[in-house]
Amino acid sequence: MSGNGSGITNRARAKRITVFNHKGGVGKTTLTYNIAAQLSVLGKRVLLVDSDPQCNLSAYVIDGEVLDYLLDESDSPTGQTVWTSLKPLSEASGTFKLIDPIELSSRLFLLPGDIRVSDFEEELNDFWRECFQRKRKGFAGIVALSELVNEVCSSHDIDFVFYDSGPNIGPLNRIILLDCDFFIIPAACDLFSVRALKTLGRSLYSWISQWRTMIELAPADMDLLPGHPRFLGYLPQSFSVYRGGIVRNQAKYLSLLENSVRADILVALREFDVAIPGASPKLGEVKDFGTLVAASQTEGVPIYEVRTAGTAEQRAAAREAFKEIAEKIIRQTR
Amino acid sequence: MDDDNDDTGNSAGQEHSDNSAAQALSTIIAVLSRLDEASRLRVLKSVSTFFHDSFVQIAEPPVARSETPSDRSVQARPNFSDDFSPSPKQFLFEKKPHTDVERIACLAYYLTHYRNMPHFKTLDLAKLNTEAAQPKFSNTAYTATNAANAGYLASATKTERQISAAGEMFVMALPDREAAKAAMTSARRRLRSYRKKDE
Repeated sequence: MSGNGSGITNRARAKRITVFNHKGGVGKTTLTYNIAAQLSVLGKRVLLVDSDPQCNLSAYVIDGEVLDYLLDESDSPTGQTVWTSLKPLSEASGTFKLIDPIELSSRLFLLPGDIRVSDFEEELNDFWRECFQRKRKGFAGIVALSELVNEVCSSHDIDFVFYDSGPNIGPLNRIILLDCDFFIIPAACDLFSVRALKTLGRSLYSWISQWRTMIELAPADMDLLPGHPRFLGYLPQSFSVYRGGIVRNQAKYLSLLENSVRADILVALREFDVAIPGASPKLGEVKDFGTLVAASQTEGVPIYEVRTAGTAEQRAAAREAFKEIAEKIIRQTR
Repeated sequence: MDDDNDDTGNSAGQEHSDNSAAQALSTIIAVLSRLDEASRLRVLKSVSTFFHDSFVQIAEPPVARSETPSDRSVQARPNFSDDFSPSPKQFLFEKKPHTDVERIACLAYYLTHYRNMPHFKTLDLAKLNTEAAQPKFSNTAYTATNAANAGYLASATKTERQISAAGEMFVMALPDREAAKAAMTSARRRLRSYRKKDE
């Protein structure tokens, strides 16, 4: 009597990835956009899903006035944000509504975020409880975002999906992680990031084990989230480089981060088989690119395409760093 | 008399040409119907390339997947009454603006001629820019003001703008940059001479 534990029936072939850390300020949105943009440069079709109610990713790539307009219109039938799609579930008036993503460039698409996604997030707690009570409504609510993404992936022939998550351990991030095939952990080189990895490991363990119980409880014909995210690696970022090496007070945290990733993520989640065999836990490194990041957000382009700040060398270094990460993602997700 | 002969000759020629076209069509259909869909598509594309023509609009075969509302719209057959104007993305791709200000001029031209919006606000330009899958402007209002200062846009009402005559000529001349530059220079010269007359 257990559900379709392999996930949604006819799940699109796209690999779903989230750059997730519940600690704020570790570059989730910046990394998400720049990795996705680089994957599109490498010929992959990428869908960005702004599932953070703060809508930072949407503000990164869409004109402020247009984003305000989208948010104003998101309740109307012509709305085009994630909230427009999930609203029927929040209001218990039906299933998700299919929306068209915004095309950012020839192979890069965006499902814009919305502050009202936080309303849906409140409902998610109820849906989660209802799953334990074996209520179909609960399961339908939990998989709604995943089904929306599935439809968009099918209609736009998407290769990779990147969820941009908010800095918290909330129910929305829980369903995103359970829907993903892979996750990446961004981390800054400081004490708080090392500490955060410990609590992150515990949360991930609790989410995956609870969902496995629910899979057993689910009605047989229900579509479910796969609940088997694999660890693509961690990404230390925003560290300073001086004379070719990482500055001393940040370098010590690099080794602490690696130790913590092994102990608090890989060992803690060992029973769920999250590690990719033979892969290094470090996916890459993104040093501090100074003014390029702020200029990239203003211009709405990847760091390596900024026109108004930085030097050609900085842009080339940024391009190389993100290219290496993107190529590694392609290799490891095959 | 000669005219009558000419008419008869022309109509006979026309009839002959119609018959040949019908025969050709019937042969092509007969041959193509023996092929599978992918081969048929390949042959039609090759014929189109051979004749250096883009008049043959060949639809890609639908990818096998579950049907969604957006699929239905993609697969819908075109009607004679369908709008074949270029998409904003296609329009900008063809015009190849080099700067943000030139992009604003192209967007203004598109709003005027393809969206029937001779007067527009900054938001309209920003929305069209998003629709055209272009990078966002750092500050759309500022860029629009720069475009107005450069002569591509003019004021319409208190809160709206319109494309200027010079802006229209500039965009029409694109992607030929020399012609576009010449159009803009001549428009500016004319504007200066009017101003001098007024003084």
